[in-house]
Amino acid sequence: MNYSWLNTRRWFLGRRKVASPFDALLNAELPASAASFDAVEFVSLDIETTGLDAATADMLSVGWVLVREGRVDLRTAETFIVRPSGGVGDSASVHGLTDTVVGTGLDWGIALDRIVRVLTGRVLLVHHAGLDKVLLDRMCLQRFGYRLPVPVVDTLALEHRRLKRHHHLENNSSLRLADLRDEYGLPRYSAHDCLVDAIATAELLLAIVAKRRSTTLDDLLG
Amino acid sequence: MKEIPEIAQFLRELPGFDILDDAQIANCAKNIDIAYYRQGDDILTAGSENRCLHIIRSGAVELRDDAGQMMARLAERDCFGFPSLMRQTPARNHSIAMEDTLVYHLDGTAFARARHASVGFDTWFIRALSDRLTMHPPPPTFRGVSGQQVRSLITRPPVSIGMNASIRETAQKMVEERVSAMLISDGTAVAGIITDRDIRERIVATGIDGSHPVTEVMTVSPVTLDGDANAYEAAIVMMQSNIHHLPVTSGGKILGMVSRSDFMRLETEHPLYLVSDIGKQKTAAGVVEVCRRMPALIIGQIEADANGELLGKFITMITDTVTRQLLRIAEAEFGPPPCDYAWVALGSQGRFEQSAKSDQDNALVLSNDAKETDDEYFASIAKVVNDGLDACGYVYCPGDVMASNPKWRRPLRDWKQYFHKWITVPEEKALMHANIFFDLRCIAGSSELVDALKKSVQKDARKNEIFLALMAKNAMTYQPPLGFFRQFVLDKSGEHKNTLDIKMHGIMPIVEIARIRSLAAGELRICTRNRLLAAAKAKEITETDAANLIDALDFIEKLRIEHQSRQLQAGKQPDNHLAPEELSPLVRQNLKSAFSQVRVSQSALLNRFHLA
Repeated sequence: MNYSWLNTRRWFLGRRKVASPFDALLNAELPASAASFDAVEFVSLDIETTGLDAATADMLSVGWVLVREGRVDLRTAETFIVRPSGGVGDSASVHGLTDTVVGTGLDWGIALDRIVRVLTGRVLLVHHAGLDKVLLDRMCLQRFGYRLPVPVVDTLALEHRRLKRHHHLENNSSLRLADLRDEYGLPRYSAHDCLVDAIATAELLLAIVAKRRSTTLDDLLG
Repeated sequence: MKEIPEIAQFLRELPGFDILDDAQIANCAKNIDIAYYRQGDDILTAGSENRCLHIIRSGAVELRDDAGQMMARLAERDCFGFPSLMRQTPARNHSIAMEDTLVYHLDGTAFARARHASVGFDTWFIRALSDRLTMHPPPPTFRGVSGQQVRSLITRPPVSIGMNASIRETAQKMVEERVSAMLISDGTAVAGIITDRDIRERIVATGIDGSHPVTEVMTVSPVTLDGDANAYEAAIVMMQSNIHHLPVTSGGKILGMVSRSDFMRLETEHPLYLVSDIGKQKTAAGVVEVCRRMPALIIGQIEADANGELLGKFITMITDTVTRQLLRIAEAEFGPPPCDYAWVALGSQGRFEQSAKSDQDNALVLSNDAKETDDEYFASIAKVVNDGLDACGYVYCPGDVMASNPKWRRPLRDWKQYFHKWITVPEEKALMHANIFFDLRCIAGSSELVDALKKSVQKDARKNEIFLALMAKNAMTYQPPLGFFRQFVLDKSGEHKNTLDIKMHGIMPIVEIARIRSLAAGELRICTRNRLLAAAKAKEITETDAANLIDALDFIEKLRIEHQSRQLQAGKQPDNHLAPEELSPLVRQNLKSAFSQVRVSQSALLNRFHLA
């Protein structure tokens, strides 16, 4: 999505009557697209879902951490379990979350409110927006009537573009988070914890940015 | 804020952090921010302010000193930046990412909280701090060894133990052999090494049982060097690998071990070289120039683990040499003296108890034959010596107790008169002078003059209980603080705000007790420790009291040495002002015990003269 179009759309939506905290998100000022990386606050976020199809999957848990002033700030780390509308289904084997555990989770609407609040005035950072962003859009549409109008930086898309530009993209190139981290010499983390994945994604962004001479928000957006 | 298992687990396995409990780990984990540095990036620059403990999560970092010399190479799980954090000084070294490096920055406040919460954690970092400080390799240190083979540095046959030894047996043998590192041998070759530091970090800190085999905790296949290698190379290897012990081999066979202190013994900057260099100087400016090497030397002595008593003697010995050489230079300029004289050192120099920060107190005792007109000569040489000492760092006495003051440049009979008056008509100023002048020692010239003076003083003082009682009362001016740091007598304003003057409140009270007690015993000894022992022998104080005071003095002086060493390392002027934050809870506890010992002895002194 084009950044000025995003701003236009937010302005347009901001004039309508929308529920809190979505209204604050719409009215918050976004960082300028020319802002340097250090000047922008990112919410590195990862979601675990009941399935791989963003159109039908439900959120099971979410974790995030802020990247600000060019650093991952663990003081801001947050994670919680979400109670989905349906059961846990197949993914229990992947995440180790059973219906019982999930049953103690937050109502999905409250969880979404928290996500919206932390995203207010910030940029969403995910690895593979195709899943997480689509899911968040769907949830926002259902709760607030609109998709989530925030700028998105996708480390997977960034690496995909870089490899393609340098003609390094081969059929067997892996863009999985763990493999990309290996390439950047980042340590291995245990998989399948959304907070750890959020931290891992944030560190990957630092590494990607460090490799470039200078980086603006615009360089990172899709 | 949620627990982050991945981060907590990493921290839990770090040396030092392994002592913390889960709550303390969690508190650390949530006070971290993560930064990524590209190869070649500066992480901390020397002289910059540092607010966090840097923990290398992945990658490699080099520490370099101001001159660009490599001090240490650090890898994953190593920490840096703690010396500046603990001492609240700017960073001393540059730290540069040698590879792309991920660094966890633990917030300084959280680090301080963990140190406060856990004595073990605190102790670990205090030791690490001293290791980091002693790794400082002064560039000229190794000049003298470059021509030698490393095998020539070996001082004794290798001390080793077999592969099947237990940890406890190994430690016992280390104690017996008085070594700080032990080789583990598989019969012929070096299989591993274990050092004092390993015992601390890998055994005590982790709680491994002493019955386990030493092979479980030793460093397997340690760095070794062939005996034919250049000694300089050995020094480099030790610095690069940041190790203190290096096994030396020949054709796979162990020849022995060299340690950093072996280099210390051989360095060109040995105190004896300094003394002989001072003796070669023909001008005061030359002496001043040679004295510039003093701070490095003092640091070297502290690294060699000199205690307060030795260090005091060492520094005083150099001051004595400087004084004598300046006198020689002055005599060469103004000609031979018109009559006999004695150059007298007073105060801490007199007692052999100077520290890295000492001002000068001195006087001239002239022969009774001295004529009125001779004073011009002695005024001239006194000026040369006083100015020279000041330029060498022994700043002018703030109370003007120096030979350049005509009042303190008198014939013997005047001196006897002075002391007689101080002792028989004691008033406040007289007591102050008495304190300084009782610690007198002849540095140069005719020692008979000083002996004669001492003899008369001793007689006067011993039979004068009133004088001694007033001295005792005066000695209560400075009392060691009893309550803990909240109630510590901290300076309330000025340059040394919120610090404790450890000389005034810790060392001087002991010095004064010792002086009065030895005078009362009719002994005019010089060093504080000797005075206490002599007083105990004369039953003026109990043996226990003397021993306890000496212990307290040792401890307080050690704190002062460490404090001044930190300042010298940071290129600062040493002083006596300790900041409470410099001290770990353990050290504070010990300091408190030392202080209460001094208070007990002060009360006993008051009782002795019925002043309580």
